[in-house]
Amino acid sequence: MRVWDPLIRLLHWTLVIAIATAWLSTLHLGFGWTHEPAGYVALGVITVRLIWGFLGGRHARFTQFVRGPSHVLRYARLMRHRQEPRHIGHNPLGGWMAIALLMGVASVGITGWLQTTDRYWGSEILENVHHQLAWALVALIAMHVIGVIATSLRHRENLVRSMFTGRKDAAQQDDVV
Amino acid sequence: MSAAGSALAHGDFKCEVPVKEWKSQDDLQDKLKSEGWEIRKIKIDNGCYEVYGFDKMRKRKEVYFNPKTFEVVGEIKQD
Repeated sequence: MRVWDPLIRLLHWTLVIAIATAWLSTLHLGFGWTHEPAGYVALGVITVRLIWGFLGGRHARFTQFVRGPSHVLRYARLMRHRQEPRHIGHNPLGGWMAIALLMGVASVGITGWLQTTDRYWGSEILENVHHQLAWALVALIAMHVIGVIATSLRHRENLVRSMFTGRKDAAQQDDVV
Repeated sequence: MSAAGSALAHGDFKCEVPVKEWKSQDDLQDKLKSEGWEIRKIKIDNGCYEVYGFDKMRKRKEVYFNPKTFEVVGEIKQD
C-alpha cells in the first residue's frame, strides 16, 4: 500500500541533501558558497512540509501522527516489552521525532539567515547558537536513523526503501493504519 | 584582489604566514576604522584574519586579510 506521497518523499530526500551539503560546505573542501543556498533550500522544505501537514493526505497530516503524552508513553511501554504494534504511518515516537527534526532544521536555518541581516551581521552570540543548534540537529538525525533501523528490524520491513518507493506491505490485523 | 582572491566562497581563502610575523587584530581593526569601517567581528580562518563589518558605504562586508601585510586576500560577496 502507498504511505508516503511523492511530495513527502521529494521533501525528505531534498532535506537530506540540503543538510548534508550545508554540513560538508563548512569543511573547507572548496564549495563553501553552497552553505547559505543549502540552508535556504532546507527552510523551503520545512515551510512546504508544514503546509502539507495540514493540506496533505492522511499520512502526511500532523493530526494523524502527532499524539499526546499518554499515547506516546503507552507506545514506549509496549515497545519495552516488544509488543508495540506496527504503524503504517509514523508511530507515536516517530511522529515526535519528525516534529523535532522540523523544528531543529527551522531553528538552525533561521539563526543562519539572521546572521546575514545587518542587525546580526558578525554576531558572535548568534554564530554560537547556530553551531550548538546544528550539533543538536546532528544528534536528532542520529536518533532518527537509529529509530528507523530499529523499527525496520523490529517489524521486518525496510523503512528506508519505503521512503524511496512510498510503499509498505499491506496492513495486518493488529497494525495501526 | 590577489590571485587567491578569485576563489568565491567560505573557507576557500588561505593565508600562510608564520604566526610570529602576524600583526595584531587591534592593528587591523584600527586600520579599517580609519578607512571608515565599522567592525563587527574578526576571526582567524585558514590562517587569515576574517573580518565581518560594514565599509564606509555602510555595505555589509566579509573580507579575508593577510595577517602580516593586511592585504585583502579575498572577499565573500554579500547581496
